[in-house]
Amino acid sequence: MSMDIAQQVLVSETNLLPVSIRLYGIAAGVGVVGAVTALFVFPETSFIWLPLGLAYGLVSTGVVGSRSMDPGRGLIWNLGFGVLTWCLFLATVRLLMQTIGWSTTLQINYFRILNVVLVCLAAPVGLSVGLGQLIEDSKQSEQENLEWTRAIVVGLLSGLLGGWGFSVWMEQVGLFPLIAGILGSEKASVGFFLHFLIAMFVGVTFGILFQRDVRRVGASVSWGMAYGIFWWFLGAMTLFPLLRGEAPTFDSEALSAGVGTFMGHVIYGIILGFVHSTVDGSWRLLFHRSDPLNQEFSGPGVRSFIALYRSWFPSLVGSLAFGYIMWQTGVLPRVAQLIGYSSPVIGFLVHMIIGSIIGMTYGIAFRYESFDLASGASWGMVYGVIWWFLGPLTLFPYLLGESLAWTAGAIKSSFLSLLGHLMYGVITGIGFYFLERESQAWVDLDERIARHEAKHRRPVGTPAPALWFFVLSMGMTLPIVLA
Amino acid sequence: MPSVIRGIFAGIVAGFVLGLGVRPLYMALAGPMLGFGYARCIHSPSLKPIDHAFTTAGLALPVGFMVHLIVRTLGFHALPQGNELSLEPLLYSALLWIASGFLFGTLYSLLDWPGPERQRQAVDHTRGTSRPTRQQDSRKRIVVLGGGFAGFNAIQTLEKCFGPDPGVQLTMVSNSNSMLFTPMLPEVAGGSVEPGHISSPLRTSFRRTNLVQGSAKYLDTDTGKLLVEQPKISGSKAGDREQDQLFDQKSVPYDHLVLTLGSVPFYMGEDALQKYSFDFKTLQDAMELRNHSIQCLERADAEVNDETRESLLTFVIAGAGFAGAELAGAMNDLLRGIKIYFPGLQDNQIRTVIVEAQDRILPELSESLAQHSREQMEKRGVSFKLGTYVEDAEPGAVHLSSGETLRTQTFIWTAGNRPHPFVEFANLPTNDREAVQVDESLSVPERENVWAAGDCAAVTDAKSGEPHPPTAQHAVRQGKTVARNVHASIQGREPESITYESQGQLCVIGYQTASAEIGGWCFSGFFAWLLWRFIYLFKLPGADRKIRVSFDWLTELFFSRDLVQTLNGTKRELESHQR
Repeated sequence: MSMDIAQQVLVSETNLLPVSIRLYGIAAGVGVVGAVTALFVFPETSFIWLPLGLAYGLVSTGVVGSRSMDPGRGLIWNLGFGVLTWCLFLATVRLLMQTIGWSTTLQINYFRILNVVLVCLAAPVGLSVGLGQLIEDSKQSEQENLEWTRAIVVGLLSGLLGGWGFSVWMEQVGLFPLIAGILGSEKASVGFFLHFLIAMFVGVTFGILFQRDVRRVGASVSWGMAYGIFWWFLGAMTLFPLLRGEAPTFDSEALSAGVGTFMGHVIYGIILGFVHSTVDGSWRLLFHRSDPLNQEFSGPGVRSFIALYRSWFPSLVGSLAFGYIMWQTGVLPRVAQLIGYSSPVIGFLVHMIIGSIIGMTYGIAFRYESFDLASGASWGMVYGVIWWFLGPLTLFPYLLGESLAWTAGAIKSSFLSLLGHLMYGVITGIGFYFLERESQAWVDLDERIARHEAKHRRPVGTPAPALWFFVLSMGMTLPIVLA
Repeated sequence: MPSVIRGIFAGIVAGFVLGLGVRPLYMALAGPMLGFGYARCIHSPSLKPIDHAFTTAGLALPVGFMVHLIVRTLGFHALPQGNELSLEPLLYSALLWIASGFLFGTLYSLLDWPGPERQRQAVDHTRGTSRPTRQQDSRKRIVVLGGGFAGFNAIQTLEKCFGPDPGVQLTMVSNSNSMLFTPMLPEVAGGSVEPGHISSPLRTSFRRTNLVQGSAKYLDTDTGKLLVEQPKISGSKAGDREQDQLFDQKSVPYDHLVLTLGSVPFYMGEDALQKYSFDFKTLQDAMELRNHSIQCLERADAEVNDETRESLLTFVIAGAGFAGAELAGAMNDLLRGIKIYFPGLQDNQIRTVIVEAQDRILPELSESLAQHSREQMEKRGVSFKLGTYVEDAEPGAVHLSSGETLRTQTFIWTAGNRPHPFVEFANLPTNDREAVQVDESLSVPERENVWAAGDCAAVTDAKSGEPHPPTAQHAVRQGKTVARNVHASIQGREPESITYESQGQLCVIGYQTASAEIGGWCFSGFFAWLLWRFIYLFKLPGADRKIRVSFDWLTELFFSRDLVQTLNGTKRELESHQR
């Protein structure tokens, strides 16, 4: 393993690629092909999508094409761009409707538009532009190599464990026979086998697509969640009905039924990202960082300890702010039930302890990720959203011996908790960023160490902004839509 | 356009668009405020419009929810419960917030397309090479001479005081590249702790200090220069005397010099004592002593001559202060512990003898506690010759002032120390002990910007007027004080006066046995020993060292002491070997 993985993973802003005319052509073509596919796949799709597909390909390549240096980056940038396009379209329509005095009730069919944009336009255009950039760049310069063995082995394992997380709920609601329907069977065991096969396939593609961008746990979990949401659109909402011989539907009934699968895909993605970074990190530790030639200034244990310490204090402040919301909404007695009490004071103490532990893990998961305060705030909020899915909707009911809160009602009733998680996340993220930045002044005293540290830092140019946008917008609006 | 103006302008526009859809009043306020905040928060000049647009669009949604929450709270409304929420209006708001965020980010960045200077900064920032531009020549050079307790703590405090200030250059000159934690030195001699575990590497202990390894040879306080001698790497194997005596010389200029040279053994001018004794100051000394002791047992096991065997199994320690008593206790445990593996040795043949000129041991402790400690040590097999001192030494024997001669191959000197001899060469004002005279701020009088602390300095307490004893805890306090005073001097502030009261004394006299005198409380035994271990483990610099020593102590509970000799030769060859 001769390549410096630190350099391999994080690209610098100076490596941005110009977009060739040929790629514009490819993107426009893929956009049109995607639109044609949508005409066949989604009922009620009109021919207006053909020029829209062409326009999407051209505009998205012009806007995010230079950042799409490989298929993984192309996919994330385009998922963000697709959602942004959808939001801008709906916001414009809404404003126009309001201005001219029409009804302001949002028709739920707009969700179908989002699905078409993401599945038929954003994903294929992003992947093809990224692939084109990768091929063109490899002709011009020494291209960063993907470690196929690592990507496949780690991806397989991650997909397997992520699939297990999802399967717990699927078994509860008896979804395996439905999955088996893809192969024309009704046996749960067939569905079980098929589910794990798909989970492993998704895991492997995750490793191949995102090996260069996900390294630490925080980024990996965030990427995993985004990928999980994307696969909900592609898999659960599109391919699954198609393979069962049905047309994808987006009426309110279908969307309400999709809450559980949405939650399952999110949790699957989180587990996938977590396991991927853990296994990948162990791989790098065993085969790369243990090599004396890659010796760091301070040991990995020391750096982790410092990161824990730096994120602990901000997370305490964040927990206090979150505690206020919990007190206002009266959920503290329920938190106390985790240890067998019902007093709100004990609930508050339990909340503070949980908050500090989770906050400390933020330091390990997200160190080197923030390059300015806005990025610190964004990572913090993404972490908050992740823990909203993991905490009140999944682990909390599970620990209280209840069934998983993967229903529309449960999501709606815990929506204010999302605000608490966001506040907690943003305070932790900003506080950690400030403490991390303060130590940078020490690092800058020695140019050699500064160069070494710079290799770890996430520079401008990765799809992180698109990822924040995709995860925050989808993580917050989809539960609203589905609920 | 300045970033703040751009932020406010873009915020007004975005706030206006947002206000079309949701409540205009507070959006009109929130837009420019959030725009101002964003402009103040962004430090990456290499961000492109697309980065700004996605970042602000992503932040807009949660920020929007929080703004609604804050407005609602400020309006003294209770937060709605989950089932009271109307999610559809929330979705409309969300879409508008996202659109406004996107609009804001795009406007903010398009109004300031990077010019050439910002482009360059962007590249520097991305590569992590943006550095302070201050010229190196204008930096204040602070040199600390000596890497013992005082010097080590002085540097750590200087780093704390100055932080990452690039206007200061910190240098430590030390003949070793590590700081020896001397309170645990007897444990190395006794085989409880591995030698490397009680030394902290200076290079990894400091964050921004340059280390120059070498010995000071000349000091010119007029020009502010220190001449440092560094042994040449000869390329020949150890023992090549001709090569070993070659040195490189290096000039180290300073603006402030802190002398923390420590002390060296003092033999009262008796060359024979120096020649035939083991020192006990360095890690090398402790390792040598342990190897030598094991060697003595190896020889004695096969020795048939009673007199020779007696000399091999008698270990004489001159001095019953902390160093002597702790060393005697540790060696006594080692020797009596490993003798079971030497079938030819009897228990009563091993003698550990402390020779002390005073009629008591451990003068740092109260009379009664010292007496109790002595009794405890005697129970464990240590014997004492009090009221007498080692007058002379020769190969295989030492002669006491009482006229008695002890046949021994192992004579260890812990009976006296004196300040490092360099202070004599440096032409600094000294007292009758030849320690550097300093005032209450630890500054050397009549020598501009020269300071001294630790065992090499004659420090008088500003409060009590008493001289500070040459102990580790006083050296630590002096090191910290002198660093703060150097910082104050550079900052143009008044230096502080040194005051310190001893926190107490702790002395290990044998396995799981110690004597303690803390805050007027005297106690001994297991609890005192436990306290000693906790306190010194806490004081041992470096988390990795703490863990390593803890494991050494844990290992000691389950396994016997290690018999492996890690050095082939020793400083003093055995007499029988010489014959």
